[in-house]
Amino acid sequence: MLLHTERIEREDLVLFVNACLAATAQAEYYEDARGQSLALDFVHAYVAHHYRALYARTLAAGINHHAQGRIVFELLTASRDLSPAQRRDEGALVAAALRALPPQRVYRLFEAICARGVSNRRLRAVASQWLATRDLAFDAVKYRRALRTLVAHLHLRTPGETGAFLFARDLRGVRFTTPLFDAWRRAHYAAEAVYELPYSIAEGFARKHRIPRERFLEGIAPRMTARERYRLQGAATRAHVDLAVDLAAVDPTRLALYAWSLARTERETRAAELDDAMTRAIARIRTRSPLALGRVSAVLDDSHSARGTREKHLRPLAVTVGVDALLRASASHYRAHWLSGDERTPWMARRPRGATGVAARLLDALEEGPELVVIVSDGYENDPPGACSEVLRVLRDRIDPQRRMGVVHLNPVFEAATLGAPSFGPHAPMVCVRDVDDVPTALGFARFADGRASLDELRAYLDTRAAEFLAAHGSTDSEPPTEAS
Amino acid sequence: MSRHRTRVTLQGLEARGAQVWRGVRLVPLVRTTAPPKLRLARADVHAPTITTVDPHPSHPSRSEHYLAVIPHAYVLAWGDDAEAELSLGGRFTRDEGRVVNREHNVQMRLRMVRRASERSLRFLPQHLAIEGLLALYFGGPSIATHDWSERVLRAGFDPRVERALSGRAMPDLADALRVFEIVEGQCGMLLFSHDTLLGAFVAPTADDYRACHDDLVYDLFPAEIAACARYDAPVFHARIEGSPRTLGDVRRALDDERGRWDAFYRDVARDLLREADAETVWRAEGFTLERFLTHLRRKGEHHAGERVTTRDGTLAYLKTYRLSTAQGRRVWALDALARADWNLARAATLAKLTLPQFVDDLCRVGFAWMLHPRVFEALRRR
Repeated sequence: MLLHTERIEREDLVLFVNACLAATAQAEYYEDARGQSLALDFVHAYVAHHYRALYARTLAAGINHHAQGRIVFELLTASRDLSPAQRRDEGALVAAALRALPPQRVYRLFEAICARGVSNRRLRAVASQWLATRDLAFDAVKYRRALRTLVAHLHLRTPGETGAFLFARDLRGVRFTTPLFDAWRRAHYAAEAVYELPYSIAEGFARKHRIPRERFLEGIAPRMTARERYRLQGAATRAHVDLAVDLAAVDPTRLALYAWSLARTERETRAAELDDAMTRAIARIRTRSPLALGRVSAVLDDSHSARGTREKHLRPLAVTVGVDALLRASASHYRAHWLSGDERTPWMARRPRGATGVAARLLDALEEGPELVVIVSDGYENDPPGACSEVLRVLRDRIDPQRRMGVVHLNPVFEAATLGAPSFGPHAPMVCVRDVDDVPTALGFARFADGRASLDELRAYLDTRAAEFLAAHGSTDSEPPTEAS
Repeated sequence: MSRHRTRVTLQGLEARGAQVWRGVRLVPLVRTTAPPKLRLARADVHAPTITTVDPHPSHPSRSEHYLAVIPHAYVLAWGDDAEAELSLGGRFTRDEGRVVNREHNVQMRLRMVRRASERSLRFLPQHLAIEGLLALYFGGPSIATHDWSERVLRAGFDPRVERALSGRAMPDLADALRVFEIVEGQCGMLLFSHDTLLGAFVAPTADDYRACHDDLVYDLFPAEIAACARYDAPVFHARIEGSPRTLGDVRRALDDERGRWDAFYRDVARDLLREADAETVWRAEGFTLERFLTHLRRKGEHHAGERVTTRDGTLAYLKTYRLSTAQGRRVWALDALARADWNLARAATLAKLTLPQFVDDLCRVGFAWMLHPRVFEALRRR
């Protein structure tokens, strides 16, 4: 009986961590955004209720920003029956998570918590501690509405002119001495002041002053963040502005997406540069989390469903391409088996096509006798359906019962309809990945998905991750937020 | 135009594993032989078409009464530079129709099939078949006896009404077409709702198929299917039977499984792939465009469709419409009557039914109005 409950708990947690790794409540090829969101709501509510301590620990498990936001929301909105020790533990994790999250996500999160009507000492402490780490003048301009909501809702004190700036209704006769605030005031009347503001704010003013697109992009370029530059490549090309993007700093998934966004001729002329950037991006991941593998075969899904959706266009294929490059660099002997059967095409020219027939390629991969077979696929097999799990069943029952060949399924997509249950049956442990950076973590996590490691090991794993996480993002003054502040 | 007997086949094509989405099962058809030298494309994307028909010999006023609105037209081109011909044929010239509504870009065309350029042909998919179906015995009884009502003797089956649903009203069909992963080399598709065959579509080449794949949602489907299409269809999972010892055994078992899919789907589609009455609509260099209706039976599935076959029998184009049960019965009854020279008693004998049974059949499918009251009187007196 004990064993049984332990197994349920372990499976629940594995499923939950998988959901947190991949799901972002956006539409996927086979499912719409609403279905994804509903499934996530359920999974979060379920785990938060039953395994509160582990739920908070998951913040440290290398999960994606969306999931971190959801967990922090859940933790901060329901904390009535917690003991002081629990509050302290959670507080430290939440503070570290907030520090690691991008600010726009944190502001959106705080806005959602305010909209829920939560206002208590704990939330006030968390918010003011986080705000203390921020450049408030900059945030007041860039995230004005969110910061105003937060300050008004929690009755927070703001230094200097920030309060006056946030709540200014009428600009007539107002003077600011803070340069950024003054630039914002002047931008209402003068087009030149627009270029002193952060890009996202300047854009609204540029429209107001009817600044031509090319002049605006050229002028605002120094104020853009790396992601903004990356995102605006298309617009810059249309406006004939050179918005250099530093390929050396881009991660493999984004690099692949960027390469596919280029025109074919440009992609071909810049092939060497792109290839080099990919090699360096992979090397960066390997220095961060070293990965040394033996003989590896990969089954890689480039079927039509790897196209993703409008929101996540080509993302599954981009992740697959990145995983391919990472495994090639990390394994002593490596061979890739693409579903289309086409292994020559370089990653830049790859396109999602055809049906998903994993089984035949899996057999090709197994015939090489590797130590590890990595399947990267969205798990929706249709040519014919169910053949892959059948092959794996026969493999484990008859051909390789000693498990000399390991099989891991990396899934770039969260399947909401099955709440993320393993798609290729019980013999292929499934771990979701959203980015290539997650792969080393995912391969480490696969032993829990496999069911061979016990619940205690899983707990220990999450504890270690939490300790690492706190060490990396923990508060500098080593004082976790308390209620007394 | 000549009528003849033929057999609907999928010559040159092979079925692959089906892809299931909710209640819809899509079976890809892949060419096993070289594609015919024909190309197919949608004529112009944004103009729905209003069409009339040629005057009917037995009912000349019909062309004035006939009006159809069709969301799309296809162009079929042949010859060595078929691709260039496609774009020529896809263009509408000013003299061949008039724009009825400039705002909504509705065009008026005059005929179902017409030559669009020197080596291309424009026609209205599925509609060609359905029009053939409606025109069948449209004139009414050819011999006036006392059994028939005045109305049918005077006006025939005018208006002959049949109803069908657009694919957009079919539950999950649009989604199923969206998520369907087009198989490499796929030239056609069998469309099932659960395990009932709804229709088939075959294009000459894989590129043409890819371009026309989404148009399946504009096709017509029998309304009675829509109700049961709301439930999810069972997914058939592949199975490896026996006791394979090596990976090679597993591979062989999988290949066998693949072969069984083809046989299975041919079996499920056997009500389409059978004897049919065909009518040649157009004949050009080495290919024939014809419309057909599968052999009529009192019970069972009926499919009406149009197809293009090359001289060696390879199927270049196919599009079918599945008749609803009532529609099939109606056509069967009319056919039985026509074969018996519109003599009720003889038609009943031919259909291996008693006279009351046959009359009952007519009433059930909505043809009671064409019988004279004295027929019912006589039956009641017996």
